[in-house]
Amino acid sequence: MMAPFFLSRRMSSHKIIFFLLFITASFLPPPALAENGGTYADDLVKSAQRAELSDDRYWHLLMHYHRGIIAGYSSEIYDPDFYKAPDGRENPTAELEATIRGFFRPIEDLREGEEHPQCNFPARLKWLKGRLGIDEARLPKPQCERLEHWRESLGVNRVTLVFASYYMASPASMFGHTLLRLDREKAGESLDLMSYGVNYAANMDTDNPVLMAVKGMFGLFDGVFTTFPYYMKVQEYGNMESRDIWEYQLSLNKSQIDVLVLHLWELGLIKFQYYYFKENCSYELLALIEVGKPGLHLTDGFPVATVPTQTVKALYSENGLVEKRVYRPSVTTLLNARRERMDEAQTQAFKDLVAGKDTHGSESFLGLSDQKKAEVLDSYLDHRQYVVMRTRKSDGDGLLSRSREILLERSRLASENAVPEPPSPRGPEEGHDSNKFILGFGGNNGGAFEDLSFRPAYHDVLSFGTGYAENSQIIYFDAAARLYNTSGKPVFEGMKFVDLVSIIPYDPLYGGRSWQVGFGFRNLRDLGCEECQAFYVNFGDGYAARARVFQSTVIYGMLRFQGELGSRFEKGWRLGAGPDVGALVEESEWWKTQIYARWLRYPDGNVSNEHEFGVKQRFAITKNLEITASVSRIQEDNEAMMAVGAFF
Amino acid sequence: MRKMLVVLSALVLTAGFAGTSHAAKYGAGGCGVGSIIFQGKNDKVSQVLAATTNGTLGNGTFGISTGTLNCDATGLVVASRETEVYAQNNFDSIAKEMASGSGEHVATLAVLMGYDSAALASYGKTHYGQIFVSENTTSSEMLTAIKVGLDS
Repeated sequence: MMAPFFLSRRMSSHKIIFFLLFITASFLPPPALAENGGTYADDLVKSAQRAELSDDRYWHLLMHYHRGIIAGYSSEIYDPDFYKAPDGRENPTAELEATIRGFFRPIEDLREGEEHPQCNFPARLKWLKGRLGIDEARLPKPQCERLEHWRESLGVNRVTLVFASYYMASPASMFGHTLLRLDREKAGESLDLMSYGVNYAANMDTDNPVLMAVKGMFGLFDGVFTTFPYYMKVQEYGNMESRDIWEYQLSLNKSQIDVLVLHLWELGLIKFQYYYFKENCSYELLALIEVGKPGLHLTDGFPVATVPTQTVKALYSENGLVEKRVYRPSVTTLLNARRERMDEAQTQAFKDLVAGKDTHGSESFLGLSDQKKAEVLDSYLDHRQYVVMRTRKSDGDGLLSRSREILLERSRLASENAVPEPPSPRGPEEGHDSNKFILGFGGNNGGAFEDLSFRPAYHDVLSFGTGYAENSQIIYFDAAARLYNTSGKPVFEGMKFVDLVSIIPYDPLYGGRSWQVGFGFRNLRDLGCEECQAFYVNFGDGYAARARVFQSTVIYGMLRFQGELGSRFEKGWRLGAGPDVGALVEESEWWKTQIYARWLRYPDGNVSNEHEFGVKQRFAITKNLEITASVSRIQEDNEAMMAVGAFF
Repeated sequence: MRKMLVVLSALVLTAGFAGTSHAAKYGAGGCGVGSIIFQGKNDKVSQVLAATTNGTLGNGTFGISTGTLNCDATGLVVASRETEVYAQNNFDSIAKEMASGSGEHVATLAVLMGYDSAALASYGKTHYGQIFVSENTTSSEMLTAIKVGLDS
């Protein structure tokens, strides 16, 4: 369709008129005739048919076609502005033909403000020129001013994939987030902050969480690409949300980068169907990289779901694609590294400042050497910046307006800002994979049993922690079954649709709550029934603390609420609450222990008590292979189990 | 109870795989991306609803043609305003790094303004009170003060 899709949305009301005009125009006698009586475009269409270009993988990449479930093709892009043929979304052949003909549209046919198809679809043009050997002299030569300006301003000399780490405070960011950065340089100096970032995200048009979930699952949100200066994201992620950032510089060459940028232009305001699980931010970025370097098969590895960390691993699975990794710690990560290096007097001075004293009011501060004073002030200013970013009320309200005296005092201290190296950063690509399969053997009062469970995502509190948020758990769709040797009958143990836990040690500076939330089906073993399923929802809230001496130990306590629905209950449901406490000890990367106790009182629905306590040990053999040993007591039943877990 | 279940499930399901955004308003600086993130997002509800994360902080779309301050016809920051928009959006980081004497934000500012980054950092530290004259000094006043100081 001929609508000038890069113009403002206001113009789009004219699309239909343009479309009709185009249809009419395409029936007018063609100007340039080829020797055999047809036009040059006709000849090219024929050679494209002979070469079966519409079946070419690259054409499908450019058009975002996927094989249909039964037959044929369909593109993820539903926006009609992306297609030249009316049935282009489902018909790769017709679309290819219409695209070729579109490139020959006479320039004088364009209306005021309308851009030529060559300017709208430069990546398609480039590919077809190469494959069909199009004679440039016979192509119309439109002026693509906006495109040229855009390419020049971006000045891309490298492409970097950026991973922003987990943000447990917000459900949408628990898996991390990825974006692309189009790197610039000026006079030989790299300008990472001034580079443009490319984001693919759903255009959420609702605040209603139910609608958000449903629309996200079924592709009812529009997905769009956007660009913005990268420093915006550094401020947002690094300084406001305290998320560490990893940057993966890719080894694309100049012409690959050029094609990637041209294709990005084609996607401009185009609307995709956004799916949370598969065609999400991570997937579309990989698809974009594939267009730049079609030798890569990055998206093939994600038939069902795309998790941001797995996309980073996909980059690493291609030899030499990642040229260099850069770690960009968040302001709070840096601050915590600074705090750990402070001596006692510095710590006291820092506390005084945070408590609101000025530097003259803190005796601890006045007693410090200039070097140590500088360190305290740098830490304090990091802290202030973090606080200001989260509580800013107006444009003029900032670090300067709130802390000018401290800034001035810091500027008078000669010593350099010694940025500490945060403790050995490990990237998300070094973590375990996403799917998990567990085979266990154990025994309880019912005899010996075998246990089998599977989940597609993602991480539990005891899993190998490298590359994941510490003491966090994100479990989706975890199903388990058990076979008792005496009865020989398999028992469905339950299905955790979702099970999230975040245990964050309380920090006097930033606070920090621990919480858990989950729902699914489970067996009511506390009622002495091995095969009574109930639907449960649980929610817990509390605090955790890191032990002073054994720093690897985190103790937590939460108040847990649980609601259940099931036919086994007198009223069909029960509602309860109680403490959920424990300790997590990470002896080393390879060994982790959890000691836990839970007690739930159900005062209504089906008056009952439920209690469980136990110890679990996890030993990692590799990052993707672990052995778990556990002993527990559930009501009056003792149970011991050994299990092998494999991530893949 | 049932309603609570639905809401809770929905909440958890929206946890999906990141990458959500909100239709944001145009802001003052930088193609609509400017002021949005500085509006103090301590609103718990919006955090839970994921409104604040991974967003496309505004409308930096390539197709935006006209009408946005600082934004050109392809959704990029107008070249002649790039330094001002950068300074405005990174003011806190620049103020902090200039006081301590070094940092990426100051180095970037130096490249944009055409100065040697060590020279800018050292000038900033030694003339801090002249560049940041008061609590109300703005980013454009900062830029002017730097230019006056280093070009004279």
